[in-house]
Amino acid sequence: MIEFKNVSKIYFSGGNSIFALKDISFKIEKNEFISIIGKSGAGKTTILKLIIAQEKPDKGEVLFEGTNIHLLEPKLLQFFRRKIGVIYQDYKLLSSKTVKENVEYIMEIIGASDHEIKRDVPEVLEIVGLINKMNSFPSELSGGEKQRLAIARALIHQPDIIIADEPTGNLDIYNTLEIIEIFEKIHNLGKTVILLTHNKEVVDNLKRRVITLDQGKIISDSLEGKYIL
Amino acid sequence: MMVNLKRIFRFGLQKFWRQRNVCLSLIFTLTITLFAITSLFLLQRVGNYLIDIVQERVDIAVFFKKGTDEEKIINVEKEIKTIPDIKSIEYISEEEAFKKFKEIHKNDSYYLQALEELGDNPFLASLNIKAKNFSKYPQISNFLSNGEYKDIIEKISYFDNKIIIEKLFNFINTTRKFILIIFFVFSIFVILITINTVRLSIYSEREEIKTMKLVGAPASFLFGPFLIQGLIYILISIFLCNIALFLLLAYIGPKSQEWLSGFNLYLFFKDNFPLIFLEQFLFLVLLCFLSILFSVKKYSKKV
Repeated sequence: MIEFKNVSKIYFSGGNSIFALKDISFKIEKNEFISIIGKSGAGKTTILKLIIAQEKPDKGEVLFEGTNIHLLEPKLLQFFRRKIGVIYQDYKLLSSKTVKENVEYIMEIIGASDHEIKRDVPEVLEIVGLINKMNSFPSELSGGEKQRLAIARALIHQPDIIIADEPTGNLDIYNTLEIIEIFEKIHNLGKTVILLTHNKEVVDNLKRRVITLDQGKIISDSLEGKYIL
Repeated sequence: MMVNLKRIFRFGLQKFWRQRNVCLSLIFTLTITLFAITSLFLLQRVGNYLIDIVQERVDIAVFFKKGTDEEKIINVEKEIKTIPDIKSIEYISEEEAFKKFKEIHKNDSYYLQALEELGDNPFLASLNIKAKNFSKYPQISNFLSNGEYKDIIEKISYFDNKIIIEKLFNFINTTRKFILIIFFVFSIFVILITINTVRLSIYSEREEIKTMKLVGAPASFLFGPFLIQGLIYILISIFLCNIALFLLLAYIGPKSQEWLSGFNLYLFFKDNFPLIFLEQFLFLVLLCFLSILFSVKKYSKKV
């Protein structure tokens, strides 16, 4: 489904070049649940940015079902992005919209009917425990609530792929397990889940495929991996 | 399609309402811009009106030798009419000139007595020529004084007043250029202020624009709400600007009629309001929409 072929990404800072990713190759099949782990700065978020074409690789290519994502026309790229639900580390919520509107927005841009929006949005907000805060603005939410809103927004349109960048970073253990359970349920519905994390407990309990990154390189890729760093 | 349009309109209205406090500065800038541009436009019209009045008062008279056949004068008149930019030609026969003089000086016994003493009609037949443009007068005068009709022409008034007419012509040309330059410079100034104000207001929403792009929003959902919000600002600004102008011009209108040789600013504004409104609307739409499109594109391009 998603394939990285000899991908390198270099960032330039203060006249120095820093390798975020060094010639990495891997494949993620449809309906896989994969964790990509690594320390901060290992290149996890760069992988996310390359998948959603927020950044372009300096070398190699990123393919989605055989098509190079970075060669897509702008209109097709937006269409492709709607197939992915992303939970960002910094949430990327729409600050001028309420909790309910943040979630509704995704349904609205994919062209869902008003009836579908009215039916699905409260349901998802109920699942993530934000139904009582549906008219609040993101600035009025705690870190954990923002994270749960980001999750609700990523799940609402039932995308083919869910990518979660440190989705449990601001959650307590109880909420963490609940969120991981939601991801497992989504995965069981036939969706692909990519988890970018450095949460050892989460990775070890999942017993799924784990790709380990260190300084932009893949140092291990095991089918039933553990957190080895 | 209709569902998307409805949603874009709703987003635009929502943005406007939620940012109403922040947007006051933008509405204020747009209103001032529009007020300045409309005032400059009115000043330009006043300037042109005054120049036209001066121009209207200048003409040249061609006097024909005593006893010139009327048919020949009519031929001259016909030929002059073929010159482009001739506004009007008036033929005054010797008799008409005589009658007019007597009419004007009917209460002035000194002039009437002098005429009686002369016995004969001393006046010459003439053509009074008005051109649309000052620059035509030398051409007309040269055409008459050097052409086939020079033998029947006694005098052309242009040559007597040549220096004054040329000075006036230069003054009017300079004034026109000055008005245009002032209009141009001030327009550029207010346009730049407006563009930057619009850009600044969108700059504060750059992260939101990027997020919308990242979650897959189509271009219509990125640009549309900003354009709707902009349209509301434009309509409010036009309303405020014209209320202020109507009140101001209603006050100075009657006075302007005295100062500006009969030009009533209020009546001019009122009579031409539909056209002025259309021009104001198109001006702001062009200015704001281009600023919005460039700014949103700039921030959405980065993701």
